[in-house]
Amino acid sequence: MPRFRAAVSTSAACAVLVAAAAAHAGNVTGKVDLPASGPPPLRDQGFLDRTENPHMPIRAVDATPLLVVVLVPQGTPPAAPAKTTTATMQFLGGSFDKPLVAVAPGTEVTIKSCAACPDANLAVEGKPDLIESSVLAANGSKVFKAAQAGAFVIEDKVSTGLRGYVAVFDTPYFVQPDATGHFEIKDVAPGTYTLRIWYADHFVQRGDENVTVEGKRSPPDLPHVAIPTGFPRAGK
Amino acid sequence: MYFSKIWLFLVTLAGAVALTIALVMPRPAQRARQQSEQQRLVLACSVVDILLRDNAVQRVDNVAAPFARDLELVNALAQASDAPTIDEPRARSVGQLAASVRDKISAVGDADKNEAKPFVIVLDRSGRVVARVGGDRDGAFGDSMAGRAIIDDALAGYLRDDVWAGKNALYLVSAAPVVKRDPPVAYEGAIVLGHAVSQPLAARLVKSLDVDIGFYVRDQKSAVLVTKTGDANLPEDKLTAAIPTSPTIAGDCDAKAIIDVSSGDKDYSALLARLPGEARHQDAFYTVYTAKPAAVGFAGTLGAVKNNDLGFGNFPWLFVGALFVIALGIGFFLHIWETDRPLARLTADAVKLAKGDNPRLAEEEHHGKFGSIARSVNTQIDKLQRDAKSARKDLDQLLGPAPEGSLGAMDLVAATALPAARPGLPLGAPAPAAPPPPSEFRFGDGGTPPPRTGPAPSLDLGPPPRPATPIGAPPARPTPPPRSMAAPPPVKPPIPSMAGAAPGKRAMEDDILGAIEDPLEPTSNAGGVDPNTPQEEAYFHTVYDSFVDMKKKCGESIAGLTFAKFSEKLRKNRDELMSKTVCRSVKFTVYVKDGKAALKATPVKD
Repeated sequence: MPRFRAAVSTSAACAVLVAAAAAHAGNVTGKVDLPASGPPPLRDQGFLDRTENPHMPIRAVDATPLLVVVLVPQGTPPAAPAKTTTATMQFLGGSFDKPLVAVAPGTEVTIKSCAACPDANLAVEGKPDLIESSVLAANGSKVFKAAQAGAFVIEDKVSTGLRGYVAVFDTPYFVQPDATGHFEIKDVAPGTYTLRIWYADHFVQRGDENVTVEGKRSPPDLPHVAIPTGFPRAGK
Repeated sequence: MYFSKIWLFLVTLAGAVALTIALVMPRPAQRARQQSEQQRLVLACSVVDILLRDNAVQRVDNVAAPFARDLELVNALAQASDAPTIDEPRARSVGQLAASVRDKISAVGDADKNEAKPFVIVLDRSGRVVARVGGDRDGAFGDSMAGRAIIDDALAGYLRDDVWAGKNALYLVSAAPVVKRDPPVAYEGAIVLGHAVSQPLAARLVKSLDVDIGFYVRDQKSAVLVTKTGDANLPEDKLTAAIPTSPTIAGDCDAKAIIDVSSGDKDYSALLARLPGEARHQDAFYTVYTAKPAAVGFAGTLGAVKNNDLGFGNFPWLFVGALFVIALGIGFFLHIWETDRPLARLTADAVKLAKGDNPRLAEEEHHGKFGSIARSVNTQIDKLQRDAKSARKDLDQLLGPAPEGSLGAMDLVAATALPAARPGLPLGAPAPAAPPPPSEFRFGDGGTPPPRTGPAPSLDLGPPPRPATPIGAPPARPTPPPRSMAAPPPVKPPIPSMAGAAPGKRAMEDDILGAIEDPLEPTSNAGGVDPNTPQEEAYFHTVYDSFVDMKKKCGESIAGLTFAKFSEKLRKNRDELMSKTVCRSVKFTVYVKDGKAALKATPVKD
C-alpha cells in the first residue's frame, strides 16, 4: 500500500511538472517581409530570354509556399512537444498542391496522385532508393520516410520539371507563413533561439534574429523578418 | 673521284630531301584538312544553335499571337478559371478551339509537312490543364502543371521557350500568357505549344551544313538517342562521357571539345552541345558529327593527283626536266673526267707494259687511285726483278761461274725459276735475251747462242714424250741404253748411287722430272752417285753423252765442250750442292729449255 501511494505521488508530481512546463511555454509570432514583389525567379531558361507580355505587368510570384520560419535552439535543445509524424503531398501532374512540406525527422510523407494525373516515376533527388521505384499511376500513392534533417527534393524521373520539397528539421519549432507572411510558432519552450528562414531546399543567408522565450510570456512580435532578394543560400 | 663523290652526295641528299618532303607533306595537309573539318563542325554546331534559337522565336511568336489573342479562347479560359472543376464538355470545347488555332499555325508555318503537328496545352489561371490537343496525352485535362518553370513564367506574364525531355523524347516548347485585354485587363491563363524533336526537324536543321545531327537525352546513366540524321550509330556511352560540364551551356559549341567516335568501321568527329531548359536536368544534348577524313598519306596524295595536275600549265615540267638534265650531265662529266679517262690512260699504259714497250708503268702520268695502282704494280715489278737477281746470284754461287764458251744452259734449280709469265711479258713469250733469268746457268759467259734453225729439240726419252728425263732414270728396256741421241735417252744404266730421288723426295725437281719414273734408280739405293768412284765417272759420261746429244739435237755447237771440263763442272757443282743442301748425292737431268739443251741438278737426300 505504501508503495502504491508512492507511485501515485510520483505520477502526480510528473503531471504537475509537465503542466507547469506547458504553462510556461510561449508563442513566437511575426511577419515575414518578402522581397519586393518581383517576377518569379528565372529557372531553366530556354534558347531565348523570357520576355514580358506587352499587355500587363508581370505578376509577382508568391514565394511563401516555399518558406519556413525555424527556431533553432541555442545550446541544449529543450524538451519539446511531439510533432505530427505524417504528412501528405498531392501530386497534380506537373506540380504538387503544396510545393514544400515541413516535417520533423521520422515523418512518413505520403504522395498521392490525382485522378487526371499522368504516370510519374517519383524519386528523391540524390536518394533514389528512398521512394519505391515504381510508377505512380493516377489515384495512386507513394510513401517515404524522412528520417534525417535536411532537404528532400522529389522529382519525376520521366517528366522533368517536377520538383516538390520536403524540409525536415531537427527542432520542433517551425512553421510556414501564410500568404500574407504572418507566422506563429506555438508552445515554444523557454530558452534562446535563433530565427532562421528556410526557402525551398536551403536556409537563407540573412541576419538571423535571436528570440528568447521566458516562462509563459511570449516574446515580442517580430513584425519585420526581412528576407534578401534571391533567397541566397546560407552556409551550414 | 673527289668531285664525283661530292656530286653523288649532293644528288643523294637532294633525293633524300625530296623523298622526305614527299612523305611529310601529306601530314600538314592532313592536319589542315582535319582542322578544316573541325572548324566546319564547330560552325555547324553554332549554326544549329542559331537555327534552334530562330525556331524558338517562331514558336514563341506563334503561341503569343494566334493563341493568346484569340478572343474565344480568352473567354473560355476566363470561364474555366472560375470553375471549381474542369469537366469533359469544357475540356472538349476548349480543345477544339485550340486545335483550330493550331491548324491555322501549321498551315502558314514553314514546318515540314512530314513533321508531326505540335501539341497544345491550355491552362487556366492556376495552372490547371483545361485542354490538351495532340501529344502523348491528347485529350487529358484536369491536372495542374503549375510549378514547372515555363508554366509559372507564362502564368506570371512571360513569353518564353523551353525544352522538355520525356521518355526517349524531346520537345521544343513555347508558352505565353493569355491576357484578357478588354478592361479590366487580366491574366486568364496560359497556352503551351510543343514540337517534338523529330527526324524531319533534325534534317531541316542540318540540311545545308553537310553534317549529321543527333538528339539525345539521358535515361538513368546513359544517353538515349531521340532522333538523328544519317546512318551512324554513335556509341552513347562515349557521348555521355563527353557531355560538357561547364556552368554555362552557351559556349558548348565554341569550346571545340571535339571527340572521336566510331560507328561500325567508320570514324567520326563529333561535337556536343547541351540543350537548355528543363531538359538540361536530364543532360539532353545534340551532337553534330561528320565522318573523319581518311588519312591521306603519300599513297593517298598520289592517288588524289589528277591528270590536270600534271599538265604543262600546272606543273613546271621544263624546270624539272632541265634540272634532271643538268644533274645528269654534271654526273657524266665528273665520271668521265675523274674515272673513265684516268682508267683509259692506265689501261693503255698497262698494255704497253704487257707488250714490253715500257718496262714499268708511268706513275707520274696517273693520279689518285690510279697512280696508287701504278705504283703498286711497279713495286711488284721491282720486287720480282730483285728476286730474279737474287736467284741468279745464288745459282752463280751454287754452280760457279759459267765456263768459257757457251756450253748451253744448265738449269739446276728449275723449281725456283721465274714464272713463265712475268710482269710486262705475255704469257709464253720468250724471255728477253738479256739478262738471263737467275734460274738458268750457262757454261761460259753467255755468248750469243747459235741461231735456231728449227724447232727446239727436245730430249726424246721415248713414248710417251717427256720433256725431260732424269739421268738416272731406268730405261724402258733392260739393256743399257744406246748412246744415240736419236733414241730416247735412256741416259745411263742404273747406277745405284747416282739414281734419282724417290718420288716425293725430289724437292728441287721440276714437274717433268717429277712425273717420270726413274727407270735407272734402284729401289735399294735411292741415293745419287758415290763421289769419286768409277760409277761416278761412268755416270758423268752418261750425262755428258746425253747433254752432247741434246745439244746436237737442238742445233747447238759443242765446240769447246769436253768431258773433262764437263765432269769437273758437274763434280764441283755436285759438291757444292751437296754441301749446301746436305744431300747424299746429286742427280743430273738433261732437258731442253727454250730450244737449248739444259742440265738440271737435283739433290738426293735419301
